[in-house]
Amino acid sequence: MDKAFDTTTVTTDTPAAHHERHPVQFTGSGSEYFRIWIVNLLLTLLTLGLYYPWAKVRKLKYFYSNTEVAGHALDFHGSPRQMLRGFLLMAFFFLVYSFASQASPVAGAVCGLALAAAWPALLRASLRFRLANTSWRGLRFEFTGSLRDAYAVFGRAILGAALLGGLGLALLATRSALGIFAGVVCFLGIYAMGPYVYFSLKRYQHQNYAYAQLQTEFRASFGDVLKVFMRTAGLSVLIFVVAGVGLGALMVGSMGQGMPGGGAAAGEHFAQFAPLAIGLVLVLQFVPAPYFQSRMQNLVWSQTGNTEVRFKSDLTFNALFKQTLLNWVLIIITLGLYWPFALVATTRLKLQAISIHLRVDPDTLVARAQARTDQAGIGDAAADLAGIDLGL
Amino acid sequence: MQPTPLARTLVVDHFDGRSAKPRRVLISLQAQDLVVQIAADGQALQRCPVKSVVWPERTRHGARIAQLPDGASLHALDTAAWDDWMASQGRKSSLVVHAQLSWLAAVLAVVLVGVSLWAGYQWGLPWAAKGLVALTPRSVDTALGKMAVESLESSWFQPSQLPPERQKALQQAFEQAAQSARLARILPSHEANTPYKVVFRKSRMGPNALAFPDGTIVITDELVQLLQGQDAVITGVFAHEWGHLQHRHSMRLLVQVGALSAAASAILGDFSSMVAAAPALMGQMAYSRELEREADDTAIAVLQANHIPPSVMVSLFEKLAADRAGTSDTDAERPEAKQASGDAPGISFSSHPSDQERIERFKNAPRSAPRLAHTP
Repeated sequence: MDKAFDTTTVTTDTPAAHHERHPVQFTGSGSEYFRIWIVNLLLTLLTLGLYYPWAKVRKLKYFYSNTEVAGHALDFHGSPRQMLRGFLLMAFFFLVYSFASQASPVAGAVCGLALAAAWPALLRASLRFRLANTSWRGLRFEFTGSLRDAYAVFGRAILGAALLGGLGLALLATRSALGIFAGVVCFLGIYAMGPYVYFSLKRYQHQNYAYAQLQTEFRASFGDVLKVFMRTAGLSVLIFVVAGVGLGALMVGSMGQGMPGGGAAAGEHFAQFAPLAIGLVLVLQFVPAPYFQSRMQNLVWSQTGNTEVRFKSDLTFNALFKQTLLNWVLIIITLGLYWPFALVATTRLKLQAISIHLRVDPDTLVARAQARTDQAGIGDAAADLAGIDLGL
Repeated sequence: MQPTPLARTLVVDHFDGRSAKPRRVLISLQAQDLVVQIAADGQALQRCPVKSVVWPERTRHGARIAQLPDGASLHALDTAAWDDWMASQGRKSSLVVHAQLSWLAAVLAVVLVGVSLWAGYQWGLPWAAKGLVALTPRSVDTALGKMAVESLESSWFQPSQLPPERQKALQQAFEQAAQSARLARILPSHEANTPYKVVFRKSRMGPNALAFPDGTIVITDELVQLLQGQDAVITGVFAHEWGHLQHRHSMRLLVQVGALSAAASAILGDFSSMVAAAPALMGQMAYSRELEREADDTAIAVLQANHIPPSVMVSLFEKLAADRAGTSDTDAERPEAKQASGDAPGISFSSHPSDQERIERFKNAPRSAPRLAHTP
C-alpha cells in the first residue's frame, strides 16, 4: 500500500508537546429534525421525487452542522442541482431493475449481476463524493481509495470462496474419511468469507480517509473483526437456547400447576404467561444487532488513525440496546412518525461515543492539492440506492 | 477602508479553504456585495456578490457556515447574533425554512403526507400504470406471457384429460360467445378484437382459470369438471379471462406493483427493507381486486350479448367455495392448491378476494344491456 505522503513529516512545532482530546459533540434535536423531515418528505412526494436531492442536502447539512469537533462543526458542500442528475440516472436504473425482476427471474438476475459488477465502483464513487463534499474548519476531506482496491475487496473473497469450494469438492471426491472431513472444513471456511469481506471493506474505507496532510491508517486485523462476528453468533445461539428453554420451562411449569384443575385450567394459566413469554422472546431478538454494531464501531474507529490523529470509540452495548428497543417500540406505536427522533437519538449516541486525539495543532494544517471528482453526485445517489451505509 | 455607517457589521471566523487556521473578520453587506474585512485592522480581505454565497439556513440547533465561491467560508461565533444580523440585512428565510421552524406547518405536513400517499396509491399509480402500459409494445406482453406459460407448463400443468370432443365443443362455445360480443358491438372494437387462445390443462392447483399476457387462457380440467353441465358458466369464466387480456391487466399489475415497491423503498428504505416490502404486497392484493372488477364487467357484457343472464355466475362462486371447503380437510393430494393460486403469474381466478361483492354484481346485472352507440 503506497501512501500518498509521509505522515511523520507534517508536524511543524514540537510534536510531543501538543496532545488534545476532542470529544465529538452532537447538538441535533429530534423534534427539530422531525419538522425538517416531514416538510421535505411532503415536498418530495408532491414533486414525484424530484425534490429528493434538496431534501437529502438539508438532512446532511442539519446533521453536519450539529456535529462539532473542537468547537467547529462539519459542513456539507454538495449542490442539489448536481445531485439531481445522479439521482435521476440511478432512479432510472433502479426502476429498470425492479421491473425486470418482477417480469422474469432471468432478467432480474442479469440486472442483479450488472449491479453487483458495478457495486465496488459505485461504493468508491459514493465515498469520494461524500468525503470531497465534507469540510471541517474550511478544509475538505478526501477519500483516497483506488478503484483497483475497491474491486479487490470483493474479488479476493469471491476467489477465496471459489478456491475453498473447489478444494472441498476435490477432497470429498477422495472418499476417504480424512478427505471428507477436510472437505467439510473447506466448505465451512466459505462462511468465513462473509466476515472477511466486511473486514476488507472496513479496511478499504478506514485506511483511505484523508484531511489536509493527515491520512488515516487502519490497524485492526481480520482476527479482531472475526472475533466480533464469532461473539455475535455465539450470543445469538445462546439467546435462542435460553429463550427456548425458558419458554419450555414456563409451559411445563404452568401445566404442572394446572393439572389438578384439568386441561382448561392449564391452558388458562399458560395464557397468562404467554404475552410475557412472547414479549421476552421479542426483546431478545434485539440483542445481537446492537451488540455487533457497538463492538464493531469501537473496534473499527479505535484502530483508525496515524501518528498525529487517533480516534477512540467507547459505545456501550447497554446504551445502544436500550435505544434500539425504544426506537422500535415508538416507531411502531407512532406508525413511523418517530423515525426522525430515532435517527437523531441513535446518531447522538454513536457520535458522542467517539473522541478524537490530536497530536497536531489544527491551526497548522493546510489543504493538499485536491482533485475534485464526481461532482455530478452519481456516487451519492448510488450510495442511497445500493444501500451503502457511509456511517460517518 | 471603513464600513459605511449604514452597513451593520458582524464578527465571524473566516477560513480561506487552504488552511485550517481561522481569522477573525468583520462582515457586512454593501450594495450587492458581501465585504470581508480583517477584524484587527479593518483591512479588506475579500469581496464577492451576495448572490454567489451559499448562506446557511436557519435552524434552532446547529452551526452557521456560509460558503463563499472561492472555497473560503465564514463561521458564526454565535448563531443568535448571526440570525439577528441576517434579519437586519433584510435577508429573508425561504418558505420551506419557515415551515421547518413551525409546529403548525409540521402537523399540516403530516396530514398532507398522509393524504398524498393515499391519493397516489388510489389514483396516481393506477393512472400512471395505464399510461405506461399503453406505451409498451404488445411484443413485450407476448414475450412475458410465453415465459410465464413455459415456466408453469413443467411445474403446475399436465396435459388435459378431457375428451377431445368436449374440448372442441367448449372452444366452439367460446368462439361463438366472442363473435356475438363483437357483432353486438357491446365492447369497444379494440377490446373485442383482442386475440386469445384457450388451452385446457390438468393441474394440481385445482379448479382455476388463468390469463397470460401473450393471449393464452388456461382453463383447468378441474374447473370444467366442477362446472359439469353448466357450459354457460364456463363461457362466463372464459369471458372474464378474456377481459383481463383486453385490458392488459397482467402488465398493469406488473407496472403498478413495481412502481409501488420502488416508491415504498424510496420512502421507507432507509428505515427497513422488510417494512418497505409490505406496501407492495398489500398493494398487489388491492390492485388485483380492482382488476377483477373490470374483468367481471367484460364477462357481464359478453354474457348479455349472448342472452345469458349474468346471474348464472353465482353458481360458480358457490361451487368454488364448496370445493375449497372440501379440499381443506379431505383432499390431501392438493396441499399446495391454496398457495399455488397466490403464486401463479398471470391472473388466476381463485385468488380473487371478496366473493360476496362480486356475486352481487353478477346478480344485479341486467339480463341484457343496450348496445353501444356506434357510427354506421
